[in-house]
Amino acid sequence: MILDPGFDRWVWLGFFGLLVVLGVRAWVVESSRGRLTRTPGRVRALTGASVVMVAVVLSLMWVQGGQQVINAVVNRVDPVTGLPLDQPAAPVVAPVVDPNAPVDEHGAPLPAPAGPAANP
Amino acid sequence: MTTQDTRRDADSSRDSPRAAVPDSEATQVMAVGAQDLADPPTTALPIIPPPPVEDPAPPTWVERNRPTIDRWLSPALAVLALAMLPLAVATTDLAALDGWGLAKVLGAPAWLALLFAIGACLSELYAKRPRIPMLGAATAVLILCSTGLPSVIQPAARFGTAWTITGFVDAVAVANGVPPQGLDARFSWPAFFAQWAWFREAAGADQLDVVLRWFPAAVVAVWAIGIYALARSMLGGSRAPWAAAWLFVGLNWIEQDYFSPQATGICLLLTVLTFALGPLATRRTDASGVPGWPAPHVGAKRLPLWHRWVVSAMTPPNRPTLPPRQLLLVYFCAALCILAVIPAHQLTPFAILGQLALLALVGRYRGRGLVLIGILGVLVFILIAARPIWTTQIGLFIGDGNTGAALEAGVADRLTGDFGQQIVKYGRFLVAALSYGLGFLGAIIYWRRRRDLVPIGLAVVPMGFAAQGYGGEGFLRILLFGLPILTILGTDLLRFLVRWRGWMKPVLAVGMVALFAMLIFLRGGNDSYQVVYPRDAEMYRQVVATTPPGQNVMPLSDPGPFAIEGLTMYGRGGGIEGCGRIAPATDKIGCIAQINPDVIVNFGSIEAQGVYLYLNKPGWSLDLANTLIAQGTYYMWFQDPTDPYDFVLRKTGAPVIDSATQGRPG
Amino acid sequence: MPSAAELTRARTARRGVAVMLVVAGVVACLLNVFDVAGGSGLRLALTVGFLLLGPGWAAAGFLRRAPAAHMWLLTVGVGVATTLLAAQVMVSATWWHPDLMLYIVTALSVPFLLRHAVVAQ
Repeated sequence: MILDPGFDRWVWLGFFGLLVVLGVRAWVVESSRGRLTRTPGRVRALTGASVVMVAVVLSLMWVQGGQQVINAVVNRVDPVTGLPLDQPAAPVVAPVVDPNAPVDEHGAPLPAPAGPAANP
Repeated sequence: MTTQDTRRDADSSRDSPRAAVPDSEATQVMAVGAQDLADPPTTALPIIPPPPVEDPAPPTWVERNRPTIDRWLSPALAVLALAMLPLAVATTDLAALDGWGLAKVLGAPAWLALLFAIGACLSELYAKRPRIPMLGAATAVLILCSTGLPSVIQPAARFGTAWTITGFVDAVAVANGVPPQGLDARFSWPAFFAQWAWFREAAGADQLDVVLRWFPAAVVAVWAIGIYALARSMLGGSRAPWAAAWLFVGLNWIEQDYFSPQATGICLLLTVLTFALGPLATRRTDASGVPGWPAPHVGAKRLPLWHRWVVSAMTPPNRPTLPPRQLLLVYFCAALCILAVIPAHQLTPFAILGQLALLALVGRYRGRGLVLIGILGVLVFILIAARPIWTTQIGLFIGDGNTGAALEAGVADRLTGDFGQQIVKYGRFLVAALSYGLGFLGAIIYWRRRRDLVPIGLAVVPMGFAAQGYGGEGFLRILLFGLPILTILGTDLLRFLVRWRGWMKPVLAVGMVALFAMLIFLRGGNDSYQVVYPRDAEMYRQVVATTPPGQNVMPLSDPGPFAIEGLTMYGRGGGIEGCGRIAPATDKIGCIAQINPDVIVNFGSIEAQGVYLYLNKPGWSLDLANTLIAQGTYYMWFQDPTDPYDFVLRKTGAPVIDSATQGRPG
Repeated sequence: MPSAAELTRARTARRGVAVMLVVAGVVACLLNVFDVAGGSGLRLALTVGFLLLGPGWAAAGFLRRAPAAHMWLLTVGVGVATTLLAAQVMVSATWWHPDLMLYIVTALSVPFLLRHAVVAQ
C-alpha cells in the first residue's frame, strides 16, 4: 500500500475531533448533578460519540501506515520493502550522519517512501 | 426542669430526697447520703498532693533568644551562603581537575557555602513557626549551592551532550523550522529543538550559552517545586514536604537535568503526576454504589473475582472535592501536558502513561480519559509525524529485548577509568541503592499509616523500561522516573524516625550534610572531561565560520562543544569498526587514516577524557597531532594560547574560507 | 486555614506576578518589533521568561485557593506545554514564523493575565 502524505491531515483532524468530543463529554459529566441516578442521556450519547471517534481514529491510522507497522512487527519484515529483517536493531540515539545526504530545502519533513515495494 | 424530665417515674426509694422539693420545676439535684444503699461505693482516687514546686530552670540563652533566632538565623545563613559563592569561584582551580572531579578542586568557600545553605534550610525547618517564603528562599539557595554549583563556578555549561543539543536547536533555527532528516533519530521528536529555536529567533539571539549554563539549576528548582507539591498531597504536614524536596535534590545525582528534551519531559511528568495525586485524587466507592447495579442481598454469595473487577472498572471514581470547573481546568491542563510530551521525547510519555494507567486501574484519580488520549496520541504521532523512524528503523519497535547487552552496557562499560573515576561510579551505585532502600522502607511506613500500596507501585512501573533494552542511559531513566515517589516515601520514613526518637534530628542533619557533599562529589565526578570553557565554544564557531560546507569535521572524542553550529553542513566521517571514538581506539593513526577527515578538532576535555577515563598517556592528543603533522597529512590551523590541547588540525590542501570576508554561513 | 492577612498577601502577590508578566510580554513584543537589543541577555530573558510563564499563569490564575506550589507548578507545566505544542505545530505545518507566533501567544495570554491582575484569587 502506498502511503499518501496528503492524507495525514485527516488523521490529525480525526484525533483533534476525538479530543474535542472527550472534552465536551468531560464538561457534561462534571457539570451534571449526581451519580446516584442513571447516567444522563447526554452523557451516554457523548460516550457513544467518543467510542465512534476512537474507532474512526484507529481505522484512519490503520489505513495510513498502521497495517504496515503491524505486519512488520508481527512478521519481522521491513515495513517498506516487505523483506525480512536481517541486521540487528540500531539504538535510538545513534547519530547516523551520512555526509552525502542531500539537504532538502523545500522541506516536507516526511519523506514518504513512494516505492514500488507495496505490501500486497 | 421541664416536663421532659422523666426521672420522677423512677424507683420510689429515690423519691424521698426529692419529695422535700415541692416545686416540680426546680432543678433536681441528687443528694448523696440517702443513696448509699442503692449506689455502689465510689471508685474515685484519693487526692494526692502535688510535689512541691521547684524553681523552674533559668532559661538558656537559646530559649531566651528563640524568637530572634527563629527570625534571623535562616536569612543570615542564606545570605552568608550566597556571599561565599564569589569566593568559591575565585578559589577553585579548574585547571587541576582530575579523575576525582570537581569535589577535589573546590576551595573551602564552596563547601562553606553548601554548609551555610543547609544550615539556613534546617534552622528554618526547626523554627517554631517555619515561614513558607523563607523555606522557599532557603531551598533556592540550597539548589544553587549544590546542583547549581558547577553553573556558578564553571564559566560555561558542562556536559558535551547539552552542547550537541544546542547544535540541534541551531540546525532547526537555521533551516527555518525544518528538522534535518537522516542525521539523528532524535530529530523525529523535534518539539524541544523547535521550541528553543523559536525562543532564540524571537529574542533575536544567535546562541543560547547562558541558557545552557543555568538550565540544570532552573530545572531542578522546578522539579523541587513539583516534589514539594506532590509531598503536600501525599504526606501532609508543613515540614515534611520541604524535607522531601531537599531529599530529592540530594539524591538527584543522575544529571538528566542538562539542556535536553528529557529535562522538560520530567517537568511535565511531575506536573501531571502532582495533579493526578493531588487535586484530581479520589477513590472508588464500593461496587454497590454504582447506579443501575442492585445492592447485594443479605447472605448473598460473593460475586466471582472477574465479575467484581468488571463492576469495579465500570464504576467511575468519586468526584474530588474540587468544584467542577476547577476540576475541568486541571484535567484539560493535564491533557495538554501529556500531549506536549509526546513530540518532545521518546520515553517520557511511556513513563507518564504507565504511572497514570496504574492509577486509573485502581481508580485513584478522576479523569481516566487522560490515559486514552495519551496512548492514542503516542500512536498517532509515531505513525504519522515520526514516519521516518518506523520506515527506516523498525527494529526499535520489534525490540531486540537485549536486556543482557543493556545490562552490560549500562553497568560494566561505565566502570572504566582511573581510581578516582571508579570511586565516583561506585558512589553512584551506593546512592542509587540508598534511594531504593529509603523508598522501600518508607513504603512500609506509608502502608502502616494509610494501608496503601499504590505509591510503591508507581515507583516500580518505570522498571518496565529495562525490557526495552534502551542502553546504558535506560537505568538512569528508570531511577529518575521513580525518584519522585521514592523520595516522598523515604521522607515518610525520616518523619517516622524523627518522631520516634528526638536524637534522630541531629543525626539526620549530619546525614543531610553528608548526602549533599556526596551529591557534589558524584555530579562533579566526571568534570575533568565534562567541563567546557567559552574558548572551546569560540574555537568551534571559528571552525564553522571558516570551513566550506561538505567537508568532514571530526572530533577526537565526545566531550566538548562539538557541532554546536553547522550540523547539516558537515559530515562527520566514521562508521569504521573500532574507530567510533579516537580516544579509546588502539590504533589512532590507522583510524584517522581510514576515516580521512578534512578537519580534526580537539578540546582540553577530550585530552582529559583520554587520560582519566581511557587511561591514555597524558598528552596523547598533542602527540597524535604532532605525529599527523610530521606525516604531512595535516597541519595545525589553530591552537589556543592558554590551553595547548584546544587545537584544530586541517588536512593539507583542504580549502579554507577566509573568516574576515565572509559572515557566518547558513 | 490560612488567615485573612495571609490570603490578602497571597492575592496581592498574584496580582503582582500577573502584572509583571503582562509588562514582560508587551516589552518582549516591542523589542521584537523594533529589533532592539538583539543579542543581549535582557531581551532573551524577557522573551523566554514570558513565553514559559505567561501562558501558564494565564491558565493557573483560574485556580482558586490553591497553594503557591501548585500554582507555580501548573504555570511552568502549562507554559512549557503550550510552547512545545506551538513549536511542533510550526514545524509540522511548515509555517515557521517565530515573531508572529510570539505576538499570537502574547495576544492570547495578555487578556487572561489582565483578568488575573484584576480578579486575583
